[in-house]
Amino acid sequence: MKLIHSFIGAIAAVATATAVAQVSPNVAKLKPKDFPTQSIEYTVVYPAGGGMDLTARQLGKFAEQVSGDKILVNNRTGGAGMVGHTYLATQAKPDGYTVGILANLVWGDAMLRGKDKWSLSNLETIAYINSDALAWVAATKGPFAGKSAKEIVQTAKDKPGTVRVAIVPGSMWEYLIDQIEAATGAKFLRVPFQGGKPGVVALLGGNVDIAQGFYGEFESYLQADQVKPIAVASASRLGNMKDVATFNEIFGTKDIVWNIIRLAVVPKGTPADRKAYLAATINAAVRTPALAAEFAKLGAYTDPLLTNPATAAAELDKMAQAERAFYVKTGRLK
Amino acid sequence: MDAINGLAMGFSVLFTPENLYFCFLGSLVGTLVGVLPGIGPLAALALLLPVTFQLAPVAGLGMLCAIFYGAMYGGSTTSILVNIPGEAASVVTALDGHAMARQGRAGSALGIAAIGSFIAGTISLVALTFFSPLLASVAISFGPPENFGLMVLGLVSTLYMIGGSKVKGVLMIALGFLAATVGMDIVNGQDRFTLNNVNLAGGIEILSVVIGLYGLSEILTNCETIVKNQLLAEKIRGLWPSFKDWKASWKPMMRGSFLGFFLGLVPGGGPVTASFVSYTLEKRLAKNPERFGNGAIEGVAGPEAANNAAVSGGMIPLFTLGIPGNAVTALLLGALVIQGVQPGPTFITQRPDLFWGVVASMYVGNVFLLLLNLPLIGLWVQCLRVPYRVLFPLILLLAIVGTYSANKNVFDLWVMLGFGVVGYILRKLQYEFSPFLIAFVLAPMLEQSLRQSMVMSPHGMFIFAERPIAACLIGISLILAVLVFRQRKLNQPGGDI
Amino acid sequence: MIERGLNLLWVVLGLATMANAWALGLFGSMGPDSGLFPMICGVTITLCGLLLMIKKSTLVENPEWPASTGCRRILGVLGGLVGLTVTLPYLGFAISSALTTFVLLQTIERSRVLESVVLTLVSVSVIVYVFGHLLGMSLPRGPWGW
Repeated sequence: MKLIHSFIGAIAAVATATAVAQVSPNVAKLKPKDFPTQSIEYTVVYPAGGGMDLTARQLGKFAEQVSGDKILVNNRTGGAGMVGHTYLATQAKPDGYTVGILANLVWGDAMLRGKDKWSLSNLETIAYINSDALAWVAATKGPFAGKSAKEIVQTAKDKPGTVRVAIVPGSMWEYLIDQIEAATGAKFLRVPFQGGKPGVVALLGGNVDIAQGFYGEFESYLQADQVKPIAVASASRLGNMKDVATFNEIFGTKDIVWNIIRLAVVPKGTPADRKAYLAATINAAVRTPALAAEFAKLGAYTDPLLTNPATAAAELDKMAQAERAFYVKTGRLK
Repeated sequence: MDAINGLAMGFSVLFTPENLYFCFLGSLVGTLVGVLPGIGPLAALALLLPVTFQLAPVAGLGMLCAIFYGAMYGGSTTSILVNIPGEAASVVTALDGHAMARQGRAGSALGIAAIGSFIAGTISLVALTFFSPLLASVAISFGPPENFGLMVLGLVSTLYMIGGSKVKGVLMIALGFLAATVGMDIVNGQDRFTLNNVNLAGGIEILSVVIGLYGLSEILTNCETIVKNQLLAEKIRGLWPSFKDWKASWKPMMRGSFLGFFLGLVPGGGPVTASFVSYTLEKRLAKNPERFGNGAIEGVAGPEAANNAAVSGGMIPLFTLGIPGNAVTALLLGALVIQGVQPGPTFITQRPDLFWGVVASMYVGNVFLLLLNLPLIGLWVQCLRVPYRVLFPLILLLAIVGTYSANKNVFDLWVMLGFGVVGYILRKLQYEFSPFLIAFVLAPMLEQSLRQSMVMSPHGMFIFAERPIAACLIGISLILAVLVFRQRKLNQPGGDI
Repeated sequence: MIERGLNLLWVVLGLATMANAWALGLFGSMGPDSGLFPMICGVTITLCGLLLMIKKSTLVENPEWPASTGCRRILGVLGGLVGLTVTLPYLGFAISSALTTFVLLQTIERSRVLESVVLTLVSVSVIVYVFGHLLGMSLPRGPWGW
């Protein structure tokens, strides 16, 4: 939409005064001589308008400002992300013009579904963006109103198979329930949905008793006092849900941590100087106060373990290995 | 704040040059996108989403909404003129619309489509204005059992659409179902029929099916003979619908509006479902149903009204509950979130200016679209006069780009080619495509809601009897199904199956 | 004859579907499993195919198959489209569609060379402009970057 872009740019500049970040000197000094000569693609493997897509677009906007490059967000959808992941790992040219804006769900895809075609080593993580933790949400009306997570789990233990919880099969929504059941001996009735949001909607309609979702997915209902988060699967309590205890606090466990970690990757083999430049761009953008505010609006938070760019890649690798260990322990991976 | 005051506030918010300009721009882009086969509102919204970041909320959202319902106006154009649907929601319009064009009544078909879209759009907006909170609770009450009931109703409606051989029709329905199961099973994550190809993991792209089955097969059919002249040999008889056309159309428009609005409101519905259920309804109610498929104007008026009304219906769960019913409204949700707004129960009370401003822009947008589309009818009809061999490359390339626009994946083009060849052969052997397409659209939700209901239910199948709405819907479906078979028996005692 | 072949194909397809569906599993711990709906489809397709094979009345009387010139034209168009799809990732949209359009116009439509060139340039430019620039879609690029 170049035509429309330029026209709107003119109107916007006149009509509004927006806080624009300047090109960062740290980024500029890392810029390779012949790069980039065309627009850089930020590949998103989920549909436009979703949480991942919005994050990528906001990131792209600020990355453009700190680097002066042109960035285009492209959605390569299909197979719950599998099509896009496969494209990035096997087909995208490692020339620095393709950056994948992914979630840590790519680890599961690589380990469980990539088979012989590709693995995590085909992708190189270059930057950490933000995180979103999974939370248990209960309705403020109905049979479980006002109950705590511990009480509900007790009910699931006393009357196995009667407490209905919304899950997304084959993913962290299901693994969380696996762990709770293993740790407490409770048994839930798992109703499958395609995402966290449909589960929250079902909760509102009384079709499930517990929904599992991210803050951004239930925030509007929380504000209308229709739902309440009762536990969160993060390592420590979150800023936007200060009085919601973590699962580890409630159940005395150490490993019930399930969150979406958004990160940037490039295909293996991307030249080192371009890789460093792309990483610096994204890191600089993420540290802009305006973008941090936008992320907070979307409900995301910044994991303190990952804020140091020098160590972020190594930390993420550790987390990927921990996830692999979980798969081996639960028999999903040999 | 009550509705009238809200609407007044909305119009006052809307009437700035910027907001009006972008409402108009959205209508224009929507019409363009609707007319071009393949590229639909979803692609256009995805492309224009970043633009809205820099705009004022009412301008940005007004533009995106205008693209959505604008596409419903434009989608009928290629359906009617060249039998290539611009949109999945306009497939049904091609059935009678193109037949009318062949009889020289293209202008009438286009006119009825445009005006029906306008009337439906406006009526459904009035319902949205006054009944949003009430209707929101309807949307929420649809859980898996109710969704299943609705899908069964849709499936039974498909039986009514079968014109020729019933066996071939049922076969196409089964094939459509089967095609929909290709891909990852959403309930347990298992791969089905993916032939070890990662491109099929997400299922078959509907755009490839629509463009291949309808569009490419049409192109191939036209290629058989050297079409020296124009696409349509018949002289165009007048650009305006006749009084007889009006008389026949107004009731289908009304029915289509209400039906479409309801079907847009509930989850699992949407403009596509609305269009073909409306077609079925009109065929069922018509005095001479054999006219359908041969230029019955009710078959254009009803579905075109329905698909527009479904757009407004879909806005209600979006704005009042933050629930998107389909991929397009999910994108609109994203646009709202980016603006710092969380649509949901508190949206109307917290941001009345934004809500009513967008509603006002939808009223105005519908007017823009009517003013845009009616004069264009003359232009489109003139396009038909262009020699075919000039249009031919454009049509071919449009089919390719339109299909590619869905996932930017070359694999979809192969699927489109495959469906094109199959479609060509099946046309010669008198198979109908609509049952296939409708089954393809309905199957995922039908299967998912059945399996969800079975998991949820402590008593197995009895959950459908325990929940009143679901029981009603299934009951109606059973009655309709019986009526279909009874009607067949009465019509053809010899038994032409 | 083609129709009889098609009816047989339906039966084969239906049986293959049933076999696959069986392997997927019909009922699982959570109620109906992946294979149930495909099984229903498979059974329906097989039965319909059998019915079509048996009942002569469903056979189309005189299907309007094209004459040999028509066949050649159709195969030509299909060949062109296949060529376009194959070359698209390598040559980019602009070049591969221009080549395909030109070849098709020359062979199928038998237009004059000048006319073909003009039509090709106009059609491809319009599409690239409307989709690539106006609508901002990223069309595949060729080796020369456009």
